[in-house]
Amino acid sequence: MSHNELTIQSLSKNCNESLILAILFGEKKHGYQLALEIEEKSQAQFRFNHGTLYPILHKLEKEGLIKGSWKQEGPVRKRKYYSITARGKKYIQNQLKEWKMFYQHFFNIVGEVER
Amino acid sequence: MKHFTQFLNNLNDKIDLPQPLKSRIILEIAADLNDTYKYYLNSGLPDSEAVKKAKEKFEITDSIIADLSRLHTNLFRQWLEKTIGKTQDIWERILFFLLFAFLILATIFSVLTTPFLSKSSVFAYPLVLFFVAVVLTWSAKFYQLYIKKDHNIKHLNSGIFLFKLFGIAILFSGFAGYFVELYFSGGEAMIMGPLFIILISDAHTLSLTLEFLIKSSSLMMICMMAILISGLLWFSLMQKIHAIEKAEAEILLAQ
Repeated sequence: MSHNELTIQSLSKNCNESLILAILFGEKKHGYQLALEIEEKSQAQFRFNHGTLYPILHKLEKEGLIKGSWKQEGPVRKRKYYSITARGKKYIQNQLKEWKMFYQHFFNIVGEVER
Repeated sequence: MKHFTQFLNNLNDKIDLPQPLKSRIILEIAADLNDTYKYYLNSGLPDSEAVKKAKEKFEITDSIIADLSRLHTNLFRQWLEKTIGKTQDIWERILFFLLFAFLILATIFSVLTTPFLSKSSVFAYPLVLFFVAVVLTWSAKFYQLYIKKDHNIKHLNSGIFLFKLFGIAILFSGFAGYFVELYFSGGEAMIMGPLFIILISDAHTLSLTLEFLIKSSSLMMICMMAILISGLLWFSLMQKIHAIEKAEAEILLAQ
């Protein structure tokens, strides 16, 4: 998968996608839960403008990495829940390797200032 | 949710996507927006402040809307928008218009010169023109609903009344033509109960009557065919419009 590769240019995009996929690894969640959980788990390091979440979620859904399903909540309220697919799980595992490699290269260079 | 009605209405106006996709996106955002508002409310903020903070958190910029539109726009529509976007030059637009006009005129000419139509009453000509008007109206609405996908509720029913107007005009041309041709046939028409009888007094009247029969039968066939097709075209559009309105109603109910 070519969109798996982590580059300086795609850093922000890959970061957002990876965070969402990682949060969805456990159970299905809706957009608000996702944003809140990312914020809480990162101790507010990663803060989302919730609006930016939807293009990312819909893109991941189109690519088949997550699956959206509507659930009735109360008499009239409907919510869209997202869950990770098998393809999404594979993708995030590859992303994890890419991120590890990225940081290794990054610290190899930046870490020199400590030596 | 009433705090966000204006916010969601603005969003609805901005998102240029077909139904029910547009309603689904707004429904998804509306539910998350309401949860965010409740979160701020529960964390001790006063109502107005919670509304303000939730709106700030959900700032949907033009670039977000553009991203969403790009994601959900199919390849054909992307190509169409690109092509139309490229034809900025006024001469290119004129050329497209002339080409389109030529195609329409050539079609009308070839239809009007067919033997079936040329042997018909002169009333078939305005009838065919009204039918062409129906087809053009349908084409414009088809473009709006299926290709441009402008599902703005305000424009949804615009132009639909033209179908009724042209439909009446088609029926009027057909029936008026029938009776005018009958009058000029020279025969004496009588209505006897359920029977419609033409009395023929001489050979000349006989030939005029035969001519009337040929003209009126083809006129009636054209009239019925035109009204039937117009009805089907109108029905196909109304089905789509009802589906869009239903999706809008669903989101309003959810709000």
